[in-house]
Amino acid sequence: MNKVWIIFEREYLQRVQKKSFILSTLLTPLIFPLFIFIAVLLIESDEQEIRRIAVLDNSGLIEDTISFGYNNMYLSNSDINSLQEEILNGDIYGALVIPKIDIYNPDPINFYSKNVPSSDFVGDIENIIENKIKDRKIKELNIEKSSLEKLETRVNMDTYNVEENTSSDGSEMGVSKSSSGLAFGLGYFNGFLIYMFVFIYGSFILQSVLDEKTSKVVEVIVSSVKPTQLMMGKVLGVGAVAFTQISIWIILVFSISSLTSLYFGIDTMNSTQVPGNQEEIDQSKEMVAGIYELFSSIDVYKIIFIFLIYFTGGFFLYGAFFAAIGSAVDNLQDASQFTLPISLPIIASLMFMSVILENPESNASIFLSMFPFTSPILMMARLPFGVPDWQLLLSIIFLLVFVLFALWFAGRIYRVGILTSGSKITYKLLWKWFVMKNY
Amino acid sequence: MSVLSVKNISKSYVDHKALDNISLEIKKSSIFGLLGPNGAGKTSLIRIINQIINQDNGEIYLNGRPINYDDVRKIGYMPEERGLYKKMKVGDFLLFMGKLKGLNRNQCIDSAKSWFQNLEVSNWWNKNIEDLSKGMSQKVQFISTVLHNPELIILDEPFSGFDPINANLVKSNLMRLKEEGKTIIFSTHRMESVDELCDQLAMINNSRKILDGDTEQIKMKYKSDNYLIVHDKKLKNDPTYSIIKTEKVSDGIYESEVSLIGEKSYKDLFKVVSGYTQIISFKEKIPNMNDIFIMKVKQGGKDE
Repeated sequence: MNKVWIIFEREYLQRVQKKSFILSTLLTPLIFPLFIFIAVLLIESDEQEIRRIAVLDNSGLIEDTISFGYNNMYLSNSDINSLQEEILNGDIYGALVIPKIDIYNPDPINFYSKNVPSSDFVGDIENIIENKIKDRKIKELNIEKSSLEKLETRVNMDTYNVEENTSSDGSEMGVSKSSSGLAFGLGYFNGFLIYMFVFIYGSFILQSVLDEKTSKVVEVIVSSVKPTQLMMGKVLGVGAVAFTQISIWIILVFSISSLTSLYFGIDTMNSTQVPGNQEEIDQSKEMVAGIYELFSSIDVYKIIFIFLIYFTGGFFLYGAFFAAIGSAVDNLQDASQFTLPISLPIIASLMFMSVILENPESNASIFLSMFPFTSPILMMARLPFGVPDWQLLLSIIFLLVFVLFALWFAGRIYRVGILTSGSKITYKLLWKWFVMKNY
Repeated sequence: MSVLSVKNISKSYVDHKALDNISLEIKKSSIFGLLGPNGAGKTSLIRIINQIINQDNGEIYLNGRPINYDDVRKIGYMPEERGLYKKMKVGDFLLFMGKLKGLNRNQCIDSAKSWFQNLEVSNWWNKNIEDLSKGMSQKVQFISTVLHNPELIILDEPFSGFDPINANLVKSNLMRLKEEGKTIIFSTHRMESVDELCDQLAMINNSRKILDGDTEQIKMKYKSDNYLIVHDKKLKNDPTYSIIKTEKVSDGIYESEVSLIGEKSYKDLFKVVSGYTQIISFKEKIPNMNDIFIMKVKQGGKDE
């Protein structure tokens, strides 16, 4: 165990002292807001050319030139062939052809352009035409426009979670405001964070094992340490680096958020009292207060705790496989054929995430958040929507069992792999290494 | 007494047999040469002694006891495939290696300093490993092998990567370590290079031991009663000897290899030859290890 510690110590200190680690750890929490800021700046500074769109109107719906966004629709008298030529020449962006229309049962309208128009653009034009038809219907049916407007109502629904509060005078019921939007965002964010860490730090392990093999230092080391000890020390060391990074991020995010809350004069812990004083605070404070209120509905500490469990579990599960691959191959090119099948469940998790976020209670969601190869990412995605404790516990137990299995499996490959070079590595050979009793 | 006893070791890999019933006895305070061509099984045997891999059959004894995992502290091993962590400082690397062998920080530093002196290098403690030249990193590798003052030092092809100056430096240090009572095993496929260094040796070919014993005794056993004579006039045939070959060295100077016939001794040979010609040099032809190896392989291990 002492030797695992020596390996761990070297691996950890070497990585944590690197400039690249310090920079990425301190700057990443700042880079994301910076990206958003730059994106907003770019969008605002975007001065697009006005796109001209010719309209061939056989319905009489369009009476005048219509502008929306950067688009300008004008009525044209030419025929479609010459318009198509103009499109190809780039004189106009596109041509809209509206057939003679039965307003109660309209035929499709047609749009011609060189490029495929964006879905926003298509929606905008459909809206315009729908509104024109609506206006004509209002006229034909003799409806007063003002009374029509009275028919329109907008209702917002606030959602609340019912939960048990255990306080000093026994347990009582409580409600807190919830937000499916926030749960969605938080689930996505947590899942993505684990996805990112498993990939980045998994490849660090692979790289580190491979470096030892190619720099030929490994045989010197294994004359003092058992191969499995070396592997464990390495995986633990890289894992501790990942853990350090995420901890610093959590601390940074917490201190930044408590600084902002201090700035806006909000007590995050008692934010449910805020709505009472809402008239007194200006709009931006109101918004921030709203966000804080929503966050207070989520048990942040529980989410962080569970996050760290899945973070660690996911890392070890995949890290073990990455270590085994690194030990078996001779260079990074050869590694790719083996990293692909290992990466598939991680990538698939990311794709399943939208399914889970849409419907966190479905059978598929429950299964995927139990299955150890997908649970680290997908349970985190489900968690903000509320997961029964027994499911959480079962999922964690499954994960733990698979982590132990993966480490054992990887250890058996690793002990042979690090001392073998120059042979063509196939799955069959890996299997032979794995079942070899005595190496 | 043997420091290390290798008893009936066999080892097979997935697709071939690497060692077939190998036994060796290695005396304390000696230098032992493990010879054989590439792929003979030398490295497998060394890895088994270092407990990097496990044997299928047989036992290893260190100082008369079955070897166990704590014994790695008593062994210093420099593998054939050796390297360093490029991104570390020399001192950090030596500390790391020393700690793995059970040294504490101060022991590491003291030992490293004395070895820096032995190998005639300045204090490299704070140098980056990636800045070292090839010869310098070879010295660091050697220091990391002997840092913990092991009683058994195992070197796999130690001179294959070393330049001649470093090789001689290491050789003289090995001799000194032997005088201090350490035991040294080294393996090499360049058999002609080891005559002067080894007290004992073993030859391995195709996973089997084909020869072992005391270096001088082996040489005596395999000498062929041939003599190399450098002389000025051509030799005549004589019942005392038969001429195997004669080569012209320069104008009027020849070198002949002759073998004695019957019960004649080198004194008879000298007397007879000096009757024909002026002898410039006269010596017994001692076979080197390469000759002996080739002889043994040709015999196909028949006499085992």
